[in-house]
Amino acid sequence: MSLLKQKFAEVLQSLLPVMVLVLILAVALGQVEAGLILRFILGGGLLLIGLAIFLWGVDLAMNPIGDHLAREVATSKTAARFAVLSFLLGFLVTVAEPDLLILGRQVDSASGGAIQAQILVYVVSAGVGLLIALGSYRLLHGGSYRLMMALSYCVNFALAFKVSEAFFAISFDASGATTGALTTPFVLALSAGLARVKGGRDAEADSFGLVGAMSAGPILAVLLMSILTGQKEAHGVAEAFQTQNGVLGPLLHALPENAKESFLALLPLSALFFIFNLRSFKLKKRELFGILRGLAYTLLGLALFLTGVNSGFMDMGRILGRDLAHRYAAFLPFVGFLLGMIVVLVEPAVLVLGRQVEEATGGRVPVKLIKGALSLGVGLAVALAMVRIMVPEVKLWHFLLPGFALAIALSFKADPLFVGIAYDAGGVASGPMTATFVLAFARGAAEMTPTADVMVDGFGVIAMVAMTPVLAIMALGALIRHQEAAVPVKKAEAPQPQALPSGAVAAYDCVLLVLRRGLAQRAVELAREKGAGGATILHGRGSGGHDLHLFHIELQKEKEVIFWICDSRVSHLIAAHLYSELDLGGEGGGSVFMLPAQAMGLSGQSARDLQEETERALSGGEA
Amino acid sequence: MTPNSIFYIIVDRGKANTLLHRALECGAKGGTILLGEGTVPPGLLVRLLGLNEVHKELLMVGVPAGVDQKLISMLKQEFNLHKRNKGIAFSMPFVRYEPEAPIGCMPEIHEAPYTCIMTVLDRGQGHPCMDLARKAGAQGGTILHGHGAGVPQNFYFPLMIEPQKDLLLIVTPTNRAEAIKQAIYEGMELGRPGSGILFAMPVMETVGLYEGRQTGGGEAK
Repeated sequence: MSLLKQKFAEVLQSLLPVMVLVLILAVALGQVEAGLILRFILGGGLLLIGLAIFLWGVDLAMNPIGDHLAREVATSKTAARFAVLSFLLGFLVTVAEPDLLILGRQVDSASGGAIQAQILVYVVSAGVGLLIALGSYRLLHGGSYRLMMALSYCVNFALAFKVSEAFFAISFDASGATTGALTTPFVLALSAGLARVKGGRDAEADSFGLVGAMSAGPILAVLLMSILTGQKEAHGVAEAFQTQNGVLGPLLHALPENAKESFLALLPLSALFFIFNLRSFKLKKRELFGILRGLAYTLLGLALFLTGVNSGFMDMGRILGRDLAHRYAAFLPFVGFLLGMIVVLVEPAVLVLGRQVEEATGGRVPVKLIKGALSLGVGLAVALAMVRIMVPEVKLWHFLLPGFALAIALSFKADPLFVGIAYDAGGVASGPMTATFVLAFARGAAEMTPTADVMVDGFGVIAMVAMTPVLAIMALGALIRHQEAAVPVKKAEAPQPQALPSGAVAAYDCVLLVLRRGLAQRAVELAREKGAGGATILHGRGSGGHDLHLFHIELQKEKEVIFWICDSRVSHLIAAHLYSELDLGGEGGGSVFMLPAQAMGLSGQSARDLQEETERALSGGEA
Repeated sequence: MTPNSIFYIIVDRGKANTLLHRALECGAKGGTILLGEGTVPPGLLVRLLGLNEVHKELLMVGVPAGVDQKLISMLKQEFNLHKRNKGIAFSMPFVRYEPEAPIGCMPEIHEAPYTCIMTVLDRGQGHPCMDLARKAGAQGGTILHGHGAGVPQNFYFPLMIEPQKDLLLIVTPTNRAEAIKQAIYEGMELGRPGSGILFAMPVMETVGLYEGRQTGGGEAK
């Protein structure tokens, strides 16, 4: 199956439940015009095509761009260059985010002009830049990710007590707005790129967490702004929704607008990439063409996706929310739960995260498990948001504070890989689907509920969606750590020392070592001691030891596969050395294989190198 | 220590887990799964639009002597590997290192029917290399992403830069192997130091490898 077809299948699988549930609701309520239903179906079609193309473009362009820029950041020779470069990356991806400008305008009018829209955009972008720089420093330098996140959220909550509830909601909303459809995939790719450059034992866990780190930046920035400007109250009304009429009209009208926004959002990042390409990467034409093509797909896909969502889904969400609140208010939390659960799976960043989990863990951690937890989390968030609309006494922080406190506490008990994914999940789940469809649903419900405040309750939904997935995945990570602790580890008995091999067969062997993730560097050094040349390391997963099962989903062991080509005179020597030094006799520890390889392929310099290495090892062994 | 075989099974992403479980039930001794990508023959439109991205999984299982035929028939019956585009499997003889076992009884294979050519290249060179191999008569190939061992560098952070590599895996009848190796060696300038290495290993059994299927494009779709 080609990659594009695969993307279509993936998106269709997530989209179908949404379409079916919404259509059932629309028909059951009986108040939705036929034109709107038709537009919703057309929007769904656009969403399918757009999202599949977008994801494909992300694979072709965003991942290599993130990789190259990460390498550039990590290989800085001075601290200043690193700080400037990483800050700039965070700043540039955020400053062009269209959602952030929209939020800025809302805050502008709500604060009566005291906080200007552009200033808010710059301050929030600076907040993101700061946290990206801190997060990258933590990743490259080493240090506790959970501690860093726990500290930043503690600071945020301490500041939050000084501001009004409206600004508290806005600050969390700003965090949701910055983790948009373009920013999140890029920062995910950046994180994975940095982890790849650093390598080593923690590479898998390091591939995640930068989105989580950057989500804390805007909260900090908005809270500080509110405190420093002395702006406590945000009055004013949320912009009234304009329900559009017609079937094709709104779609055609929105397309150029969305294309322009997507283009502007993509521009600073691409510009930075091309500047660095001229200065340092100097990619080959073929690769550069591939990236350009990927960028074009990303742009096309995003524009189609946003058009489908904005004009096909938003009005539908609002009308469903209104009708339900008006006629069957008691069902709101339940319907909200279902909607939240399935809508999050169509979120572009969720699909990108799923792919990255697969890549970074070599397919070891099933994407199903992560998506399941995300789904439950967001379902819960929407349901709680509905409760909050119906019961005015319940405040936003009643949920957010204990939620984050619990998540932070759990993070110290959870598997490090899941801690990173969990903090990322908050930013990942609050993307364009939440900002349009779910938000519209909540506002629709709030409009028809006399006790609700449209502005405060509307903003709160995104904050909830940014919190519950963190908690859900953190709980999953703690559960996995708990289960893993129950698996006994068997130690190997010390192997007998080996005699030196004799006889000289003029042939090459391929030595193949399969072992636990994180030991590759050590294995390469060990093999080199015994005369092996260069090695190639692959990441994989596999059986061996005890497999962990959770909800009937299997979690396999992470493995590294290492190839060496060496003279067959030393292959046993190398194998024996690896076996004894790496303690491979233990259960699930690993194995060494030797395969005969034909030498004629090895040629020129490589063959001579190999010969020298071999002779050195043989003479060293005899001496 | 009898010559066991290591089976390489290449299938579409997502199928390898089930495959591994079935192989273990058949008597295989553990397995490892790697993520890879397939290669698609270059059509102008296909290449221009970037449709040549296919995701694959490669499963390596160690199989004791005697179990291999059972595994092959299982692969044919349950996974239809002998049909087109369902994936391929091939086996190589290997010795697993055990401390107690005697040394130096590597199986000697002189006339293996097929050859597996592995080329380790810098990242991004896998597809151009496949094009060369295809011109020299290869049917298809699979690319795995790996990295070399780290080299300490003089940066602000104490990092080991791990050079990123593509590993291209081609299975071909032995009579065509020499031409393909020569084409890759010359085309990719492997004589130049640091440009990559190429090695070949004997393949005893294959399933799903089609002969003379010039239009179908080898084992990858």
